[in-house]
Amino acid sequence: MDVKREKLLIEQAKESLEAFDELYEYYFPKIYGYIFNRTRNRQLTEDVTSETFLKAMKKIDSFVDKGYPFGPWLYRIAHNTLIDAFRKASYDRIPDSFDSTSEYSTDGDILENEEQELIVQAVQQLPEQYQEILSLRYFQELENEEIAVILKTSSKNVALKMHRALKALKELLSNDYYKSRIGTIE
Amino acid sequence: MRETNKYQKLEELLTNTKVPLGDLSIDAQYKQSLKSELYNEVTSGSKSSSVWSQIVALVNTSYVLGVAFVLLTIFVVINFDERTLKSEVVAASIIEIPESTIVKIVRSDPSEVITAVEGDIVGIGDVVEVSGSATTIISEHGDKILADNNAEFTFLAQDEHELTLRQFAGSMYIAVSDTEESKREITVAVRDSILTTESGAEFLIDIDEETDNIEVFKASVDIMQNSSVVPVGQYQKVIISPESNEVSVSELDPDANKRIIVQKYRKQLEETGAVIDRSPPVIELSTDVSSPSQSRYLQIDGKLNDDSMIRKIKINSHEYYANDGNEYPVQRNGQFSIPWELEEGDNELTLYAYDEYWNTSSILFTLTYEPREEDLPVPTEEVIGL
Repeated sequence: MDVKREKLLIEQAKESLEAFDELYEYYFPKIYGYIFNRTRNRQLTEDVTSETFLKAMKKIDSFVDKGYPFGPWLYRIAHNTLIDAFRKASYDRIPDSFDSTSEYSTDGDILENEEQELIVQAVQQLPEQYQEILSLRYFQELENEEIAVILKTSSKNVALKMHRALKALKELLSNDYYKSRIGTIE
Repeated sequence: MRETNKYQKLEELLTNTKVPLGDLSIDAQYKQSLKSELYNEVTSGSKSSSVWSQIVALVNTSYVLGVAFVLLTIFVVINFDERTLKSEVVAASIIEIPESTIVKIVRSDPSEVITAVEGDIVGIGDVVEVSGSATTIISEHGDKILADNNAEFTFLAQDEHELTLRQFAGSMYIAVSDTEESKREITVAVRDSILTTESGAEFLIDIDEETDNIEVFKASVDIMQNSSVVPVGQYQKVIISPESNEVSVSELDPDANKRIIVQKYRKQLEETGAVIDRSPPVIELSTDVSSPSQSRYLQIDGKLNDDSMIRKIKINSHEYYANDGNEYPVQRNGQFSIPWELEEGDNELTLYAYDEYWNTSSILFTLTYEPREEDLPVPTEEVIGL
């Protein structure tokens, strides 16, 4: 979305929520995809997406353009809502795809093979901040600079955390459980 | 670049694991009905589709009721003997906390209490509560919460609207003083507690510009600058240009949580006109050293006079860090009363006093222990040759 157009819509949305419509249409799939890639659970994704947009619509008045785009602001709301959801609800964070009877597994072969499932499983065992940073980089394909804006830190710090996250994931994948299934990762 | 190659295979796996938006087949009807539901909820504020929403709505009906609800929740959750600190956070913050510490955030909108985890955002109007013994220091350039002697929460102002909440253990100090117009001398002093880094914590020094003089009082600390670990001993001069306004020392724990240990703003000092103390403490000893003591145990009492707070006292090889509270032998205001065990005869003691900026003074004095007759050990038969 064009930056000028986005700014205009935000200002208009503060006056009338109808202007939020275009923002919703544009960002809904992104936020949904972001949350889904972190949870791999449709029910949780829908709940968190709903909560995220509810908060965004309620707080749009407080959004001040300080050079940060609207997207990162929305991602941050989604991130926090997700963390709260993990804590508050009794959602099982293991992806539905591991359950052959789940809604997700009947939704098609989104995760193509066991290797992908195992990677997802391993990522979900990492500390939340690592999940967050890996998800933003590899599932949302954002650059360090963009991630830094979302996490309100420096890109140098993002790079450091990324390194730590990859290291932690690699270590996790080197244990026998994963090694016997996906082999050694060089 | 080397790091990227090191994880190339892993990065490929992660990228392949992404579920592309095109494969998600988001139900258009769901998307549309959600939108309508959200619009209705926001505009009417009355339709609540979940228990949570109902609670939010209920709490939001009255701010007072909301606060009462939150306080009651905390009252139930937190042990009675723990003091709870409430500090109004006036802007968005990111929270970083260690595993063992419970930090609660009371959301202002919607009102709710959550147990904070790494990376939580503290929003405008939120209240941060730290369980356990706690005090708070609110400073002009950042609000600080001291959870206990070894844990400190600092709100660091990132700009006029945002604050970052970080926590660290132990203490590290930087003393900044102007040496010439164009440069500034910086001394980094590290208290031991923070350096028991068996897990291999890294320390970062973030410096805006070039260097001035950084002297680190602990050679075993690794300092990281521009992503490269540099032995402390290599830091000789760190120049901070007049335009530059910040130097900070941070710790990176094994989970890559960056914790600002200390941060100094040149601008802050200039703006507030703070005077850097370069005078050593003046030691006033009130314990009588002129006449012999007849007791093996005595108190070494006195007062250190200084423009700054006192850091520690060292007597011979024993160190006493200053801390407020009657249980501490050295107070930060300079009062001290240190229990000392004497050897029989003359005891030569050197007392070193350090202020906050590591200005040091010392005195040498002698205490004599002359036991009373009745305190002398009764000679055994062996001693007197029987």
